Amino acid sequence: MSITCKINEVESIQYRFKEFDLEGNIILNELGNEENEIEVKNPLNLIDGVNVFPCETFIFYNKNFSESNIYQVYEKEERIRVGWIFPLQALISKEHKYAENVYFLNYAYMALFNFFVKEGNTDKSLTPNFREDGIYTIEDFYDVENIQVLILSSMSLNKVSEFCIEDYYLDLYRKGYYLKKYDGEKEVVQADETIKISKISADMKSDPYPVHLFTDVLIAETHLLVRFHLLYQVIELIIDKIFNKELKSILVGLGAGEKKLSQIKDEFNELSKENNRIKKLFTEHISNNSLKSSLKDECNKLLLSNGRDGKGDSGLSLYGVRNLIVHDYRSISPTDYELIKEINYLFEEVVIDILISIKNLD
Amino acid sequence: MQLKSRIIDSKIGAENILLEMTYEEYLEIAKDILMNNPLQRKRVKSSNTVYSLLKKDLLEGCIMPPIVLALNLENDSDFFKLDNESIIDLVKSNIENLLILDGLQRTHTLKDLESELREETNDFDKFIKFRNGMLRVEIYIGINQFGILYRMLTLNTGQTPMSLRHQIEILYRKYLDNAIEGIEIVQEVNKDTASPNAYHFKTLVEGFNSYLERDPAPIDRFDVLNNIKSLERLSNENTQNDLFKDFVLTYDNLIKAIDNKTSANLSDDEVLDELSLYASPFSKNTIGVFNKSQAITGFGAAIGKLKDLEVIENLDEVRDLVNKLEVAEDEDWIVDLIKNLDSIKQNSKKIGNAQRMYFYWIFRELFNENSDAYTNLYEAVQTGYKKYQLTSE
Repeated sequence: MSITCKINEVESIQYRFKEFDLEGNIILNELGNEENEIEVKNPLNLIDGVNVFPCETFIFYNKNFSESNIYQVYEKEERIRVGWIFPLQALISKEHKYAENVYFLNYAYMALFNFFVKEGNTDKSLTPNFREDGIYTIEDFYDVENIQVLILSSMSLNKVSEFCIEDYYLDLYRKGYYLKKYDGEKEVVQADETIKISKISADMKSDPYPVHLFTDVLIAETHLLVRFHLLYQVIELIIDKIFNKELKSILVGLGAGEKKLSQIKDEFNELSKENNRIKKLFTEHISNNSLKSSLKDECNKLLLSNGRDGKGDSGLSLYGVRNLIVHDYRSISPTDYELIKEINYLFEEVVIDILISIKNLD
Repeated sequence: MQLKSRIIDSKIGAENILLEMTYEEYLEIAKDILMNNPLQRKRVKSSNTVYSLLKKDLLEGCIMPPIVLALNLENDSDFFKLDNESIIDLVKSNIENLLILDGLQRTHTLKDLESELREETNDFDKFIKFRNGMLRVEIYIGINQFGILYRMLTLNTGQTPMSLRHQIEILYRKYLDNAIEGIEIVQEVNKDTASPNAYHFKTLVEGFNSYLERDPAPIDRFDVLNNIKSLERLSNENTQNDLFKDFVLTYDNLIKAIDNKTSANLSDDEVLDELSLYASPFSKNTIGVFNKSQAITGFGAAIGKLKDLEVIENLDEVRDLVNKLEVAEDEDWIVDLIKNLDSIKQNSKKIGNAQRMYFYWIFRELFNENSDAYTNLYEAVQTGYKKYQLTSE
């Protein structure tokens, strides 16, 4: 892979990684003209005898971060440490508390190696103007204001059964790591020294919509009305699955002669009602009570502000908001838009929680 | 080598002499200059530039613009009185004190060309012809460091880019491993045993750069517009003084005064435990805090800014104010400073720059007579933090 510097609007020079010099700076030479070298300054002191190891690097984005958002990453279910995640800013500064941590430095070295040797210029990198002095910085090539680096050890990943990074996009989104540049206000998660990443539920893996929603659509879409509808589509998807599962159970009961037809009819009617299925979803499949309660409170504020009754159940209060927005958005005062924004924020968290923890839908 | 002209440059208080010499004579001098100035040894290793064209043109007999050198003479102010022959002797006997102000890349090009021609054994005439080619060399002879920095900046504008910081580093390198009135300036400093009277050369250069740029975190890249702005600021300074020396003495004066105004023992683990810091403390002693780049660049930028605002006139005034610094006995200003720096470390997007900004505001409040924190260390630490938070939102 090569690195590109721009001479003018039409001409550019391609460079290829040559070596790390004794100070850890990255030396590249021009393709086809090895005499011509450039240097990319590396402020971190590379440790002696760096342990080169196979690893994978993933780039995420968030412009709202602290330089100290440097974490070791664990796979939550299998409790295996798989790598590190940190802002690219951590690679150009010696001020954070890991600047002399040999384990971090080893991963930092490998991240730089991947960026300048394996990745080269991709759609994730910048193309700086050619400099006469031949001296560049990492920021010339990669957006240090936004990029978050996830670097995972291949050896550790082999211990995780059927590891696939796409499975973790939801939880990473929840923690403030986005697949594309995003203008949102949410910050990268504040944690102690580690974060644990969870994968999407096996029951939801076959549906492409939820992951697509969080990796592509929500990042681009900022209108609060649209965001609500898009998130609610996930609820619709899941309550359909609940419907199918419960229906099978009812039919099995019918077939086994365990229930009377009239009983079946009543159960079916209840099941058909969307509000009942939502209530079932919230009661049986979301364990984070504090999150449910916060969502309920915000939903009720909006309902009450618009002449509707508040609900005692979080699923029903969300359903109430859904009906208000679908059927009566025109009557919602602009002063309530902040409430919808807050609901959306909590709704996102709830949706991700469901997608990760839901079980026994099939 | 012949001396063709001598003119006094009144702006910088130096004499400019114009010499004509062969490439051979120049390369003899240049070899020693580059050996004695490791900071000048680094060159652009690039063939896709005008310098490869230059090699070609030189072989066809083109004339280069004059190379410009500077001769630092510590104690000799009588060179004005020397005749031409004596001036040439003076230059030849002080080669180790010569610096290239303008023409570093051209010098490397000449060196490379000479080597290439030497290796071409089948054309000795070409080699001799090149070596006998004529070159003009200007030399600024004078003791004024700052004036030479100014001249270096004006000459380099628009040409091979060198940041102001790099030029300061080259110019004031003579202070490395030499003392300024008892103050040691060293290449490496053991950060765990910071002591008064010892400073890291690069840190002082950064601080001085910040003073000139009025910015606690100046971009260390060449930029034409920035260079012009720097020139405007430099031209307002008194070029007769050794400003770098004044800066170092003032800051040293300040650190020693500050060190006397705290009794908190930051090395005590009990004290540190009570602070519940996120990371290890910025430093475990007062000198260590203010010896760091963040503090000195914040100081430099703050004083420069106060000068621009005409709140203070010069560094002498700062030295006078240092004697008036006060703090009440029960005010643990250094502990609050450490806590604030720790909070910055935990929460800011760019820790180094954020810390510099905080120090900048501390010193702006401390030395501004219009501020409530004027000469009060405790108040300056508090209001400086508030100002930092306001401006970083």
